[in-house]
Amino acid sequence: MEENSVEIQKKRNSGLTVVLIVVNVFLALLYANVTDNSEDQTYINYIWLAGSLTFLLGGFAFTYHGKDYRWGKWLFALSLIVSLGFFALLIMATSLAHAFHN
Amino acid sequence: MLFITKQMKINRLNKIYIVLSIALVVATIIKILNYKGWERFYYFTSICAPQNYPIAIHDAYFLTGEGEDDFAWINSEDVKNFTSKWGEEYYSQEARDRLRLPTKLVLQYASYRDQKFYSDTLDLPRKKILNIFKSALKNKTAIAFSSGGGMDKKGLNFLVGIANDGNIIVWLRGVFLEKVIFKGKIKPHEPQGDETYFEKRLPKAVYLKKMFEDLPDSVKTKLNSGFDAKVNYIDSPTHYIEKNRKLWEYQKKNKYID
Repeated sequence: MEENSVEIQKKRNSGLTVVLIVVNVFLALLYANVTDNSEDQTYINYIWLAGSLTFLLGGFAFTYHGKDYRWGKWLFALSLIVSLGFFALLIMATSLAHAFHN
Repeated sequence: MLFITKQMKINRLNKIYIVLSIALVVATIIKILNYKGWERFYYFTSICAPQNYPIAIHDAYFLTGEGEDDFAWINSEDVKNFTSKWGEEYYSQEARDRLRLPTKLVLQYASYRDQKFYSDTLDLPRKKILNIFKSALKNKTAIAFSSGGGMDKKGLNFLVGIANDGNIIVWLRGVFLEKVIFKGKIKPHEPQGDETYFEKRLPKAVYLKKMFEDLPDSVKTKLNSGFDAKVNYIDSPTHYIEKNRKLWEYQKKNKYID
């Protein structure tokens, strides 16, 4: 009985976490877009989206363990790879711009 | 949210995420309030001077607020090349971002004909400028600035006129629209500090010589002989609307503009 209620609490909390991840990603994008958009805004949006999603999924992956929550870890790994890809692109673009500038 | 708390104990992660949500909402509100998008418009500003009264601009920009970054750039290309004509703005007008409206005009320049230096910060009528922008956008007398994205950037042109004897005028212009928003006079003064700075601080006479070295000799001779000397440019009309009437009527007819 005890174990069962712990399991139920975990299920409810994880459900709430999913909702909060969606809400926070939405709010992060809202924050990035409330002022006028410059030309590179789409690019900036992808970075915000990837960054915030990875960060929030990381919390999920490190909090909920067990077979039923493994998908969270997979999603986190996937978003981490995508974010790192973006990050690498960003560094490449800035160093390229820097080289071009010089 | 209430039914969840009644039935469950919220764990630490969810508490952190709730705090994060609140922080993001607060940050977004602060960002909106700081940006003041409702006070921002597209505009372009250039300077003109009478052909027979060449000047050398040392500094010219608008202040748009109290912060250090709150200023708007002014194009002085025509004046620099001594190709400026009274009442004519720079041919290529562009507006990239929406900016807050100017509150003050900072001007620092030297005049060729009287060899004097002028420098001042002038107060502009904020309310009047805001009202002209609002009514221009409403009455379709705004200018459409070209932009690559195809999105319409509608706004107005400021034109700063620097006439002889330190007379300053500022027009606000659109389609079938020209309003004088400022008229004033700056007194000449002895240049101080960096006012004669060109690569380094120069003596007054050297600075003036340097600034006007590209002014053609024929023009210099003409001006030195006293040509067009007593004209009061500040009161001469620009004929801006008459000059552009045909163009605008054509553009309206062909739906290039609203």
